Amino acid sequence: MSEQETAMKAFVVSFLIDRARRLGFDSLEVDGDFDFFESGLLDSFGLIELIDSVESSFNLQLDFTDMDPDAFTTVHGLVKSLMSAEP
Amino acid sequence: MAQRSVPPPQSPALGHLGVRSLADAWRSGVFKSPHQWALQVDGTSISYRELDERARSIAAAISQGDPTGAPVAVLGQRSLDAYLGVLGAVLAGRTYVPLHAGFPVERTGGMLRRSGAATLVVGPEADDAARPLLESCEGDLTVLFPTRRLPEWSATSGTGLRLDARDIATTPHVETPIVSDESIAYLLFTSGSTGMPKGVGVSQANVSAYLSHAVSAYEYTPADRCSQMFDLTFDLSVHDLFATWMAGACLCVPTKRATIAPAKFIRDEEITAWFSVPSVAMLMDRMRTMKPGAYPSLRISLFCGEALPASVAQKWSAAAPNSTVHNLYGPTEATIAITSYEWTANSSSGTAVPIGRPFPGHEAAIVDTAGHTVGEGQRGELCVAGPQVTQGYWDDPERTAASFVILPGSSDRWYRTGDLVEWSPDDGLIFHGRIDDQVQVMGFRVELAEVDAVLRAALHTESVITVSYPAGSAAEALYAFAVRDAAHGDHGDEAAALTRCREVLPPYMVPKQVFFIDHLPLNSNGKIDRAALSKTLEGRANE
Repeated sequence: MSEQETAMKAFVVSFLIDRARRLGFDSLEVDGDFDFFESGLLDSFGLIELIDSVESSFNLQLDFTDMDPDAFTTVHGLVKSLMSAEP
Repeated sequence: MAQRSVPPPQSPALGHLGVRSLADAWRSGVFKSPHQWALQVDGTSISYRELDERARSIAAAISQGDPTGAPVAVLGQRSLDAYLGVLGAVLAGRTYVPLHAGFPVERTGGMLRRSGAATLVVGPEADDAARPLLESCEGDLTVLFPTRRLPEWSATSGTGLRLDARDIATTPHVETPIVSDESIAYLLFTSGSTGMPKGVGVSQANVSAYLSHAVSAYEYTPADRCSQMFDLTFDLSVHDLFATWMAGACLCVPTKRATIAPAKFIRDEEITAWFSVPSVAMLMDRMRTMKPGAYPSLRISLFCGEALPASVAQKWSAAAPNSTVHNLYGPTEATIAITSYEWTANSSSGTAVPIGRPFPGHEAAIVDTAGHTVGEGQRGELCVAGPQVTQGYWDDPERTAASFVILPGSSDRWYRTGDLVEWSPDDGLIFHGRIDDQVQVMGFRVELAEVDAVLRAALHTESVITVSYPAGSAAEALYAFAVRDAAHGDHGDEAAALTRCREVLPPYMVPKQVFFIDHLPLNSNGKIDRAALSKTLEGRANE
């Protein structure tokens, strides 16, 4: 895992943990396979917020046009998708 | 996604005749397109003939399990089981009551009880919700599992008949009963300001009037591939299912995840007819999936459920260059949609797309608080009359009498929508928001007072208020403000209050955050000023 990837994963996990704490989701375990959409932690606008903040923090832009949504609703999946983005 | 294969040639297109019931609409599709795909869901494609066969078995099992004619509840989403449940109920001549597995058991249990349903159809995706629901159920309920063996838990959860796929398949078919025009086709629940969801029963005559208009106005044909974006608990899903099926077209169901990012779904499935809330288009834009020419397969795009910004219509139209764009408007109480406006690049320059003119056979009036028509160019409450206006709220004569009225100087029954509009001779009706504290979150109706009530109880204070963000009718999310209490720590209270909200409210009604402040601002009427609080949120977002 590259440095960039590790940093990105840490960023996503901390975003999700912060959200979980605020919403009172006590028992959530946020790991690489954690699906933030399926778990109900993020709705569609929450997902956009997350993507916006990762993109601006890491200065990249992702094209979702032909992307399978199954591929980006987990921590691992989103980080992997973002790593493929053009800066 | 759905398996790709070429269905056999279709039968020649037939003119769209009117229908008298949802069962008629379904049979029209079976007649037009017996060998075409009726449904693509979960990687499976099913022809009209096969789906009809299977739905008739469900209908037979429903009739055998409960001969009394009581409503049929369907707990499931985006599965073959859920669609079989709806169709089975329809072909058994019953009212169907869609329930959502993502809603709290307490709320869903209340709806189930109030509906009087004696049968429940459960999809495998809804097991986690079905179990506690059945355990909390008093009295017998017949439970159908349309596509599988009885799950183990079903024997110990609740009482009543349990039928699995094999039982259902071996039940002898029965004739579809003829239903009266006034019988209730489906029963939905929407947010209610007193904390109790309001039930709206839509009759066969109401929904038939809508479908007969929509299928011909939007020229649905057996060649169409129609999106199914709306949850079954949202009345716009009735258009998805039955306009598609009445036309003999194919209903294409995206996965739950694809509903948040449907770009690939539209392209892969070559969708021709689109229907969603405008928020979905806004999200697609923010994910940069609205590039010009991205969706050439679309020929018609309908939006409904919240205000459609002109900028979104513009972008959609560029992304779907072969599609017309229509803005539909209508409360559940007036059946799916009752006015429409076709947006074109030459449309007037307002920031929101007008909601246009009433469907044929319907009337609109703009009235003041006393129910008198307002002067030309003035704003007032929109009232609608015509065959799509429903009989009223389920088992609630008081609220029915308040909202379904005879206007001064008219002998018709009108529904007071609570929506503020004005009339423009060129564009028809222009929507200006609500006259009360109802908002739309992703198109879902929310009475803010209902959320306030839950938060008040959870935070043990009267000084709490919920607002939508952004302000206006099309909200992304709700936030709450509460007066800071020195005795309690802010954060502990917030998490506990939001947890309580999740226990009793559907996800879209749960605030994203509770802000603690020193006092709640009041407006000139001495009421808590929600608008000022909404502005505070905008300030925070722009920081």
